[in-house]
Amino acid sequence: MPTITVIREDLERLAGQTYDLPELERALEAVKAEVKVEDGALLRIQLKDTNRPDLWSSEGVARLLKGHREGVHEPYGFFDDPPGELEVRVDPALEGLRPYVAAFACEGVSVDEAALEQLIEAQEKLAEGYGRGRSAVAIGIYDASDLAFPVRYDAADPDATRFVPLGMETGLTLRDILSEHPTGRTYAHLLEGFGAFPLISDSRGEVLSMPPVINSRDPGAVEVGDSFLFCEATGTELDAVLLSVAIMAANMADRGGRILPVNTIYPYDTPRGREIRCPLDMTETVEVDLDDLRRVIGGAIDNGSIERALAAMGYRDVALDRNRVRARPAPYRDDILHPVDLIEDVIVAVGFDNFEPELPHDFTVGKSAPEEDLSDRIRGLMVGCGFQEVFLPILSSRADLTERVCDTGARIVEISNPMSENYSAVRNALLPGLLRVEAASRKAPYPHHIFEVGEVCVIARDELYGTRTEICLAALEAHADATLSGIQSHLEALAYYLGFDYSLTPSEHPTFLPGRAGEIRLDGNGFGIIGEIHPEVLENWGISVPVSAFEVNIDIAGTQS
Amino acid sequence: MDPTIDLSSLHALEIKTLRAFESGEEHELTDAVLPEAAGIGSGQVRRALEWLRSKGLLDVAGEATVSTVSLTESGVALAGIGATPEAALLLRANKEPAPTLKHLQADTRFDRGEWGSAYGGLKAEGTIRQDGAAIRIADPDRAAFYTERLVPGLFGRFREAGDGAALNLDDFTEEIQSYILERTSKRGKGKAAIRVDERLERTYRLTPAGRGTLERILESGLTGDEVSRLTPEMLQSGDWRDVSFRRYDISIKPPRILIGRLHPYRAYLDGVRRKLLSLGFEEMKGPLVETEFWNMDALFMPQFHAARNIHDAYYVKEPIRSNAPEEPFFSNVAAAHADGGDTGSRGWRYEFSPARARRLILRSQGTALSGRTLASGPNVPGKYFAVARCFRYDDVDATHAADFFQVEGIVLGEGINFRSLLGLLKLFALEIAQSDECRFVPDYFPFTEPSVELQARHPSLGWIEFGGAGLFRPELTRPLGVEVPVIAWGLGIDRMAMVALDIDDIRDLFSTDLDRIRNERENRPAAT
Repeated sequence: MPTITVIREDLERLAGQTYDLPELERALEAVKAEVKVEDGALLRIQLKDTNRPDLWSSEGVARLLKGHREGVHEPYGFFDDPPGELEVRVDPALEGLRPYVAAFACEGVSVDEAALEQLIEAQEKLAEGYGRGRSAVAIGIYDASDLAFPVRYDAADPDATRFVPLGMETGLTLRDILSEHPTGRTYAHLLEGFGAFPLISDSRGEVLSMPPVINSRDPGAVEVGDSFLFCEATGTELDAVLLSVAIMAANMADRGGRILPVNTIYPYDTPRGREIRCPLDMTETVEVDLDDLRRVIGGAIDNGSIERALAAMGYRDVALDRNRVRARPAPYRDDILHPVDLIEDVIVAVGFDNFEPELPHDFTVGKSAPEEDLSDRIRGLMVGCGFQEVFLPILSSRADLTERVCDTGARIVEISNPMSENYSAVRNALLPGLLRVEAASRKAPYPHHIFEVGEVCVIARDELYGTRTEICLAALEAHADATLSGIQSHLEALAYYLGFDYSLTPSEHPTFLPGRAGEIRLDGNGFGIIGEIHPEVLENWGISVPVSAFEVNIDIAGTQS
Repeated sequence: MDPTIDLSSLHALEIKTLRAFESGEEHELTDAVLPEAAGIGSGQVRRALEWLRSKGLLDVAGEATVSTVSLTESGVALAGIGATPEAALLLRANKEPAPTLKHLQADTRFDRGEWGSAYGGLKAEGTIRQDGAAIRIADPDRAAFYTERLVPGLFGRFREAGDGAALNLDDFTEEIQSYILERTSKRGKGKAAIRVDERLERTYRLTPAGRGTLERILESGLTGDEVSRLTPEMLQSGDWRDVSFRRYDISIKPPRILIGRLHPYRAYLDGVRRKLLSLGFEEMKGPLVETEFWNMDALFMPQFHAARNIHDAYYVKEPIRSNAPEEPFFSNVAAAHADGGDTGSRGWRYEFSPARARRLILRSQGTALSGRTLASGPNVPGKYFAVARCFRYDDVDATHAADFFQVEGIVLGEGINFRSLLGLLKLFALEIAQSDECRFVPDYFPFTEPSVELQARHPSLGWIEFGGAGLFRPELTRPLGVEVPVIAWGLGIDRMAMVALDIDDIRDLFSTDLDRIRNERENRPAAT
């Protein structure tokens, strides 16, 4: 979930209202936003809706706060303005590289410190979050006062082209920027394998930026006091590029700017043609059956309420008849996938408090999972045997599951991207966990009788997922006189009460002392192991009292009972 | 010390020892006489004295070094004969004709050496004199000491007290005392008939509290002979009728025994499970190793979703993928993602990768189980829940465990809508968080629309985010073959458990410290 930094005073100015903190928190609920940190003049606000990048800025949050409060939104008429004369021309060689660009210009905006900070914040959140680390979308904003249109979006020779990147004093070739500039190194992977690098420059050849990596130092860097801006976005997904530009345009319009459209001229086909006027309103009319709406909200709602709700959420061209409602979302939104999305907007605008909760009235029968019932019976019996239950993480380490139990041949499910070595494998047995408890519990008065019933995961090639989740019981006793027969008497008790008739065959399992271990078998199939733990294993864990233990797969033990 | 000490707290040995002081003058007795006075062994007396001193019922009135006299082996033999060689010699010397040493040695009660040393000794001290060969008495008074006073005064005392007794040196007459000291210091040890030992003798005296206690013991008739245990023999013989039983001090607590017991956190989850079962929910189970398909794709989370990158879930190293796509669900879900398929949605508008969907991961959210249940032909109407172990790519710290539990579920039926969603959440707040006050706040989940955050006012925590819920998107339900509305809900259970168990580090829910687990008290039941 994106978290943005907002200047409180700036937010309140944009929203046209001052709030104390509880008021603000309450108002932000309709935006699905939460104040996470309050730091004097600054607020850290988390946006829960990952599908609404238009809200990831103070302009976006303020826009919805204000619209929701006043029941009406800015029309953002510039989306419908006729095409202007400003152009971006695209180099044919970009088609296979980073094919899409969109842009607009903005005049009359007063860039103060707050505005500058927030524009940069919005640009970064869009590119990093929505643009997935600048790969799908990257955004540049420039002072346009010296810019010579048409702007060019070219595929440049990385070794023959050079400019002074932001934050440096000398010019570098495009390729050298990727290795020598810190930002260049961060984003170099996005240009990997490119024969030519994307480059934005004006008609005089002044380089503005090398998207999606870095801007040029000199021409175009935005400063406080600027009032004529140029904003572009480049990327690999056309609609994402267009939406980002639409959002940036709405944000600048909210700060008093007049948006000047820019035409993008492609020498190749795009899903939206070869000439695209930006910012572009891509929204489509959403049509919702009123019966569906009532079914979702669970009752009647009058047309006036629907109309008011949609207006408060920024919908346009709202048309209602007896059977359906039609509306277009705000031009900076791209999250209405299904009529339910519009229905939720209605519910949020009306307010959750205005819906009377009602208990589901269908009768259903509660039923526990059979394996959980069996687990519970076994847990009860083990407690009756005087054993303390333990409850351990399922994630473990290869060392615990193999080397420390002298079972280096064990096949286990491992994690390819572990966060730490300690939690890098899924346990294939419960016994290593019990030994870990033993190792950590030398100070606990003896004797120790402990058990766990829980899930393990084993490799099983012929299963659909190549693995199988099983439920096991492991029990262990540790004290000076712990023996095979001592622990087996508890297995006897379980077998008696659960009604399964096991037998033991000698086992050479490496975790146990030779000659004092047995495979637990049922109808000729092994389903567990019992014995005295090998002193070498005890030494590996630093355990200094004798330990005997057993472990069984209860799925199998339980089927007989 | 409390003067009104509880009599039932006194041990039988203490009672007997206290009662012994009844006979002592001024309630004083020496440790030498106490065993006899109390009628118990000297070791038992020693223990009882120690306990009584620590209770302030008696103290030490004085200490003195006492010499005690006891018989050696040869002394016991002399006592048996009833005479000493000196006495025998003197008695013979009193008669005429006066004996010679030869005559004496013919008497075999003593050997030649014993006769010899008696003769030598008596002669040297001037009790006898030599008259030619004959032996005559020179000092009749001294002779009378040997013949009349020594045997009864020394050996006679041991006959009364027993051969093994140790008698106080001071209790003998002065002449016997000097005889004893002379004999024990001059003679070789082996030959000496008597032995003198020195020991410290303590005199004990009851304190005022002790005297009060003694009086109360006497009043209540306690003797210390009360029986401590009822035995099977007493019951069989009926002897129990004739004995009185020692009263216990019931204020003394025995040590707590180590018992077999369910784990407190798991028992808490058991309580949540029971509550959901009682509300008519059916339990769901599923594999720990999931496909991205069931964990995310089937939940309408697009493959480019931010929560699907490598840093949010744990990927299985080997095998990498499931063996086959699960149809028709793969195709249905792929269509819903691409253009909505037949769900009425425009879809996410991207190309769905079936290979990615088959990638194996560790289950990262319990909602995976809800998706599986929808695909398996659930009951309509139906209510389902799971207490599911889940795994997220997170640093393990006080608020993040290596793996954690999610309590999740679904409710499906024709009549399910936004208001029944709110009703269900209100029920959960009441039944599971014990909160009669709750709030609903707009929320976002990729798989539900509308989505609700449930806030409950918890009795000790105040307002908490207790759960998230919503109506599953049609893009999720229809590809899995479900045509009715479905509520999906999840509850934040670990925080509630930590409060109930008084734990502030989430890792302690899965502690490996047996002492800690054993000492964890029973929590308040989760859901009653």
